[in-house]
Amino acid sequence: MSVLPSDPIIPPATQISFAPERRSIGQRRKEWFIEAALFLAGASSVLITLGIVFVLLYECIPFFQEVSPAKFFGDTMWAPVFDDARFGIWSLIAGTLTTTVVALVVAIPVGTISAIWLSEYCKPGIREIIKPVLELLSAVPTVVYGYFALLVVTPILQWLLAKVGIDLPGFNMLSAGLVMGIMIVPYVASLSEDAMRAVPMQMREGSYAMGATRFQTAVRVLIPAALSGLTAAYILGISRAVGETMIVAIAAGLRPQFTFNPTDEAASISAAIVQATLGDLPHDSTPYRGIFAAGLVLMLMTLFFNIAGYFLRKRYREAY
Amino acid sequence: MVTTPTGSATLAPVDSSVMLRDVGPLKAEVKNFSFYYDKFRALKNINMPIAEKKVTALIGPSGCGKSTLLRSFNRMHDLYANNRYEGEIMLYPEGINLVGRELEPIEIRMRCSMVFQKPNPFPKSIYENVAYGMRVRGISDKSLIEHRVEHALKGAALWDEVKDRLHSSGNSLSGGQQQRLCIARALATQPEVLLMDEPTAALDPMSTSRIEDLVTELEKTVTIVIVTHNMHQAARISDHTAFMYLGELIEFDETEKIFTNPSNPMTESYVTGRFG
Repeated sequence: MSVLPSDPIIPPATQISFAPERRSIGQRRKEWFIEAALFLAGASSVLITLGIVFVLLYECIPFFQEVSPAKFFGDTMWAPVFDDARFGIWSLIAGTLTTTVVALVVAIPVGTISAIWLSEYCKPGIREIIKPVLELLSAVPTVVYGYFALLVVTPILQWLLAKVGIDLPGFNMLSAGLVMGIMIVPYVASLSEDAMRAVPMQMREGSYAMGATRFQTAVRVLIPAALSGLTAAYILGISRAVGETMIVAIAAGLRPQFTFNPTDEAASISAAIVQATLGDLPHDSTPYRGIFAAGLVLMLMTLFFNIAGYFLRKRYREAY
Repeated sequence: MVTTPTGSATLAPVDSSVMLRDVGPLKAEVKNFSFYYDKFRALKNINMPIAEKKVTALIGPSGCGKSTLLRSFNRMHDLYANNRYEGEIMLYPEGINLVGRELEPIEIRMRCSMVFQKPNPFPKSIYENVAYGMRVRGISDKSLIEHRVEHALKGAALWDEVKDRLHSSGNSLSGGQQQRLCIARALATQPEVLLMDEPTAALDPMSTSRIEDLVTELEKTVTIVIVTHNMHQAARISDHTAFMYLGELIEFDETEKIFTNPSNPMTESYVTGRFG
């Protein structure tokens, strides 16, 4: 860049006078306010994140003095209010992972296929209608999805699974996970479609010119070319699923169990936190502090997926 | 005869009946061909022969329709709505109409490969880029694919540079190498016609001259139609040249004649650089 000769008409930046002493006090004050407001807006999200981490750690330190980390990470039973209180986080992690996996089994294929259809097959006019409708789906409150899972999806699943001899309880992770998947589809589809449409037209033309069909072009060229964007879409879906609370709390039951079987009743981390806050836990008790420890684990999980996503995106980034 | 919008009589195309007709064995022939982008008539009644195993260059100022004509040969226009062909582009020896509605574009694209202006390797390995055309045809014979990939890369004068890293990404190559990779990709399916749309426009002079040498070499085995903005390039590598202007074919002749003694004053002013 520095080798470019400077344009004679525009003087170099250093010669433009920004001399503050020539401006009035009012002007300077206004400038200061604007700067401060911009800084605060930018800093707020960082400060809030730091604040959350601080609160989590602040409550966690006394918790881990009362309950040893070995008991927290070495136990598979979560029963904080029993007389013989147990704080085995693994039962909650199992619930979180199981519902997340069920949700992704729905959301990734359906979302990706929707994205392929939207970006490669449907006419632009139809896309302009479908995409906003799809995005509207993500505006449905999760509590509505939760009751949809409990009152509609679960009975249907019970009826279906009864035919193959499986007795599905009224609260189960399968129903919660499936509905959670439906909830995530719009995110995955919309972001994946953006990623696929961002692939330059010449890439498609190159593939068609080789005699490829639409489907071959989408699967063999566009998906690899859009992989970095698709990964970002999937990671966002995972983060949504891991942190999703209401659907799991309503439809999967609130009985923590160490199980990876989706037809079981179980609780995820976030659902257990909700449950704890529903009751009347005394604020200065070990079970109360336990939910902060669980919250910290949840945050670390989401952080892990986001970091993994960051590296995957970097790994698959394509330069055109 | 339609006059050009400039209204000047001297700029009218020469009567197509006096144009060169006999170019030896034909590979293709454009007959009364017009093309419409929706209502806009981008090509107007084009008639020209494409000689077998020769290089035919399409030249003319931007917007003259030369790329549009080239892209009609492998039906690239089918990818976009509201495009319409009129007339015929015959492919020999069978004499099928390439722009006929009943003909599946995929079949045509397998016979008429295309190389684009900007190198567009797929986000795959060098090997898989070249194998792509065979993969989409469902060819799974590994030794056949391997053989054809090697042959195509040799044909595109790229083999020596990439033989030790066939499985690294196609994007890791330089611009000129990427374009030769795209040529190899187009050759791997053994097409009858190679369509090249300004294949050197995005390349440096060294890479350009390598591609030009390559075109001269490929001419022995495949019919080439090339669009170029570079008149020296057309003069260097082509056997026949078509000069187009505003959607019309102004003059078609042997390249030497077009560049030394054109029949139409407009062709002359274009090739001597006075307009365009």
